[in-house]
Formats: sequence, structure tokens, C-alpha cells
Amino acid sequence: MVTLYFIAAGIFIPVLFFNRNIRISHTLVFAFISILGALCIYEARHLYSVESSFFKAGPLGVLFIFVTLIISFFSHIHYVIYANKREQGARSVSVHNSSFVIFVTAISGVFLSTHLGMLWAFLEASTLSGTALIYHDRDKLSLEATWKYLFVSSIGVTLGFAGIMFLSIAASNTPNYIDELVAVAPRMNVGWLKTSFIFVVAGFSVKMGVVPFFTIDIDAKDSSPSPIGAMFSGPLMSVGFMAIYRFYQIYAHTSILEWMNHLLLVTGVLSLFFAAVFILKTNNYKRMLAYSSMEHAGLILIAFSTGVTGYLVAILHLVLHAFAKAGMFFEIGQVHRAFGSKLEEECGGYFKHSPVGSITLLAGLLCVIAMPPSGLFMTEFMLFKSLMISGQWWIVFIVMFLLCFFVYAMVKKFFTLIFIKNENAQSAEEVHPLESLSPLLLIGAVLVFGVVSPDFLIQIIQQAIQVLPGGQVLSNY
Amino acid sequence: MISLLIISFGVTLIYLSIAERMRTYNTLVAVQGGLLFAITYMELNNIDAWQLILILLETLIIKVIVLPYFIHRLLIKKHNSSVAMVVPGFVSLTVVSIIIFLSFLLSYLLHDNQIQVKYFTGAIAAIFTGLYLIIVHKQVFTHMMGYLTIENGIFLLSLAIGNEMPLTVNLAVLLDVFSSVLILGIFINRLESFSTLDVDQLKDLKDS
Repeated sequence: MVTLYFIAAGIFIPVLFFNRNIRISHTLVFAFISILGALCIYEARHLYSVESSFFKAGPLGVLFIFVTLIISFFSHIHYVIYANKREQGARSVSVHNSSFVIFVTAISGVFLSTHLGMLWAFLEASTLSGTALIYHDRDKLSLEATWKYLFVSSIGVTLGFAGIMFLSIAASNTPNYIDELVAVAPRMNVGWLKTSFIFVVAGFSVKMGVVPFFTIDIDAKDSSPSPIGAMFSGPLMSVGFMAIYRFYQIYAHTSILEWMNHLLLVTGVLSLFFAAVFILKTNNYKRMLAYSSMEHAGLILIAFSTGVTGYLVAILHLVLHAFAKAGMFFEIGQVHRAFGSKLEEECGGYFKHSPVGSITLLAGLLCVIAMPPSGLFMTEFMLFKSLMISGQWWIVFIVMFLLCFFVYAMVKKFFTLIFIKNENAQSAEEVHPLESLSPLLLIGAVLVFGVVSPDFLIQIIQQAIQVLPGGQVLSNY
Repeated sequence: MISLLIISFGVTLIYLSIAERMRTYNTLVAVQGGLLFAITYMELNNIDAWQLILILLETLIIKVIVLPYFIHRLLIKKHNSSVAMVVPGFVSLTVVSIIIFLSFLLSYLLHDNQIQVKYFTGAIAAIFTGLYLIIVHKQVFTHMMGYLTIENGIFLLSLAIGNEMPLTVNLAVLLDVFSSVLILGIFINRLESFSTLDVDQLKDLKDS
């Protein structure tokens, strides 16, 4: 099925690129997303079946493909609206749609790869296709964001490649298949592994949106169309996590496990710190959402660094955040259309414009600041529990202190947007309430998961983390 | 002979640190490509003939001919041939010399049977020199040259372990192809719209 999927992508991409009929183009993208859905269902039913030497579907891969499937479906619905309202030309739509299919294919390739070299190649492909998506509007700002994203992302992925090289040195003549590397991991040279992990975390931080290379991720989410911002905040963050996770999965069977956890903890806390500083400064709603994504990426790394109890929390948080943030990006896209701006000083009184959209934003706000009944409240609660269990009380205080900045900044600025009338806000366009339906569905799901335990998600994650040391004991967590 | 080629590669790194003209940068990166071609030809004789031909063609055609040609054309269009140096040339010379010395020291101290010291020294020196070039210059062009130097270093690193693992060399080739897309697709076609190639023009995206 994986081979068929890639063959289908290989057929769809050139057809989308050369086709100049907009309606057919959009239909083809939805057809491709349906194929992704079929792949997701097939792989979920045939977990661990090896289809080629380079690909195997594990529970985590299937879970992330499911997230990609849902978000890419809604993302394309919103792109259709975006392109229609802006009267985008056929060529622009063709370039976007073909790049979108390459992007989704590359992302799913990362989730399914069992070979580190293959994983790296798909990561690089996601960079190139992501670049074309950022450059969609073809103005000076998008060119700047594109240049920065492509350049810094290429350096990041190159550093990641150096990480694979260092692992190859440590692994002697063992091929770079993850299962084979796990088997020989205990015999590897610890020095090389540590060097490799530093390069991997630094390099792939570009994809996850954490320190050190977080800035371009913020610019990319700001300058790209909102539906693409949603893809970058959800599926692409999962790609970054998956890349780091694959190396962690190998090195966790060596003596550097604790050292890796410390590195992830420092990276997570620093990301939280920088995001807290910048979110207070920005007056741009899309950049606020981007900094909020960075905050959540930091929390995910902190949760993961707590070891056994944190693995489940980190992955669950990643999935729920992807849905909530995608919903917020879709809705902020409507705000942008309603006021013709995404800046704080040029927007206000959104409740009058769109009551449904405002309720969606409020519900989304509850999710991203992790207030009950949001599912993210539950995961953050479990994160603090994990930190306390591992005896890291001082981290609990630092994280709680930094989270206050996010709650303050988000609540203040979003309440201003929704409830406070602004004289400078110009009504640019009417937004149909139905357009807020998909963000409301995504955000609503996250709220429901705060009340009703998402058992099926937890079961999949429990299956996934069994490959990590201590992961087996979590079945009753 | 290979040692001589790697020493020449090191000399190009030193020369890069003090070069003041964009054309010199372009020539030096092309020379690095030529040296990598020669090193690959001499080193990778145990691998499959087709793979070897592919790698050799890639190093020769992309690194030595295609990229330098397009960059040369861009430089003629821009009429802006001097590089804005943020730090004086002699400081850069000292820093790059220290980088090469430390890379040499590190390679010898590692004592690992898996790596070939001479390649490893060149690779690490090139990666860090590339990063240094990116940090101390403020033109898009020199940033690009810094990236190409890093990428040449990665190629050399893949050769350091490549005899046993040709797949890693193939991946390094793939990296070359991707970076060529980066340069040809964006740098040459799109950034021409900026009046100069200074990164100071790329600062409109900010928080407030």
C-alpha cells in the first residue's frame, strides 16, 4: 500500500502542476487526501507489516498520518476559500496544489520511514515543498520568509545529516535501519552518540519550531496563508518530533538516556522562555499563534524528558495541540479577511462581525492556554504530575511562571480582538458563519477530549512507546 | 596524492576567509568541487561502477560547472563584486587557521577506526568555516557560499566513512542536488528582485 501511495503521489504531482483548471485541481487534491485516508486505514489494520525495506507502519506513524489526514483535509477546504476570495490565478493554484501534495507525501514518508537516510531525504523534501507553500502570495514579505526558511532550514537539515553521519561512525558497518541500530546501540561509542544527538536536536529544531532555529518557523507561519500555517503548526511539528524521536528511540538503549533527557529539558525550557519573551512583544495575531506553538513544542520536549511517565503525555499533547492550533489558524485567517489585517491595532470588535467565529476563537483560546475543560489542560496537568514524580520541582515552578506570560498575553490580546471596539479596524469583508465550522469541529474535539478520556488515542500511544525503555509499564497509567 | 588534495581543500578554506571579491568566492567554491571530484575518483574505487559514475558526474557537473556558471551570470548582472566584511580579513584568517588546527587536533585525539583522519579533519574544518562565513558576513551571496562550504564539508564527511557505506555518499549527493535547487530556484531567480544582495534588506518580518 505504501508503494501504491507513493506511485499515486508521483502521478498526482505532475498532473496538478501542469493542469490549469482550478476546479479539477482542487478535486484532485481531495482525491489525493482520500488516498492518504485509505493508506491510514490500511496501515492501522496492518501495523508492523513490512512492505518494503525502507517503510514500516508503526502505531506512532499511523497516529501522525491520521493527524495529517484530518488537518490537510480542512486545510485544503480553507485554501479553496482563500484562493477564491483572492481570485488566485490558475498557475498560482497549480503550484500551490502540487507543492501541497509533495508536502503531504514527504510528511507521511517521514512517519513511515524505517531507514534514517530515507527519513532525512523526506525531511529535505518537506523543506523544499514547504518553501513553495510559504511563497504563495509572491510579495516582498513572503519572499523574505521563503528565503530565510529555505536557507536556515537547509542548514538545519544539513546539521541533522551530520548527526546521521556521526551515528554511522558510532554504528560501524551497521546499516542505518532503525531496528538494526537499536539492536547494536548498547555497543556504540557514547561520545559519538552524544555528538550525533546534539546535531540532530539542533538540526531538526527547524521542523519542530524550538530553539535554536525557531525564528524562521515563526516567520513562515506568519507569512504563509493561514491554511498552511495550520499545516506547519500541526503535521510539520509532528515531523520534527518524529525525527528527534527516531534517534531517541535508538539512543535510549544506551547509557546516554539520562543525558538526552537533560538536553531535551534544557531545549524545552529555553524554547518556553524565548516564546514567553517574544509573545509579549508581538502585535501580530498569527505570530502570537506561532509563539504559542513554540510554547507547546517546548512543553512537549519537557514532558518527553521526564522519561517513562512523560512519553505518553508528550505525544498526547502533540496530537491535541495540532488540532487546536490548526483550528485557531483557520479562524485567524477569517479574522484577517474580515479586517484586512492581522495586527492588533487594526482589528477589534470581532464579535459583532462574526459571533460564531468569536465563539470559535474563545474555545480555541481555552485550548491553547490549557484551561479546563480543554484536553490540553489534562495533558499539562499530567506533565506537572510527571515532573513531580521525577522530583523536578524547580522545573515545575519555572514552567508555571513562564506559562503565566502566555496566559496573560493571549487572553489580553484575543479579548481585545473579540470584545473591544477599535476605531482603526476597517471592515474589509463579510465572513460566512459556516466557514468557522471546521475550526469549531477541531477545537471542539480537543474540548471533548478534556471531558471524555480519548482511550483509543491513549491505547495507540501506549503501543507506540513500548519500544522505549520502561514504555511497557505504562499500560496501566 | 589524496593528502595533497585535502591540503589544497584546506588552503581554499583559508583563502575564503580573506577573499574580498564575490568572483573569488565563486571560483574557490568551484575549485573545492573540483578537488572533491578528484578525491572521490581516487577514494571510492570499491563501490559499484554506476554509483561511482553518478557521484563523479554530480561533483563535476553540479559543483564545478552548473552552479559556478549561474552564480557568475548573476554577478555580472548585479555589478556588485565586493564583499562587505564585518570583521577585518586578518581576524578571519586567524579564526579559520585556528578552526583548521583544532579540527586536526580533534581528529587525531578521537582515535576511531571507523573514520579516516584526513577526511574528517577537512570535513570538520569546512563545516565550521562555513558557519563562520555565514556569521561574519551580511550579504546573501556570502551566506550562500558559506552554506556551500558546509555542504562540501558534509560531502567530505560522508567520504570519511563512505568506503564501507556508499549509501551515505549517495545521500550526500542528494544533499548536493537539493542545495542546487535551493540556489538555482530561489537565490538566482527570485532574489534578483532585490536591488543589492544585502541581508539588511531582509528585515521586514519582525514582531512589532
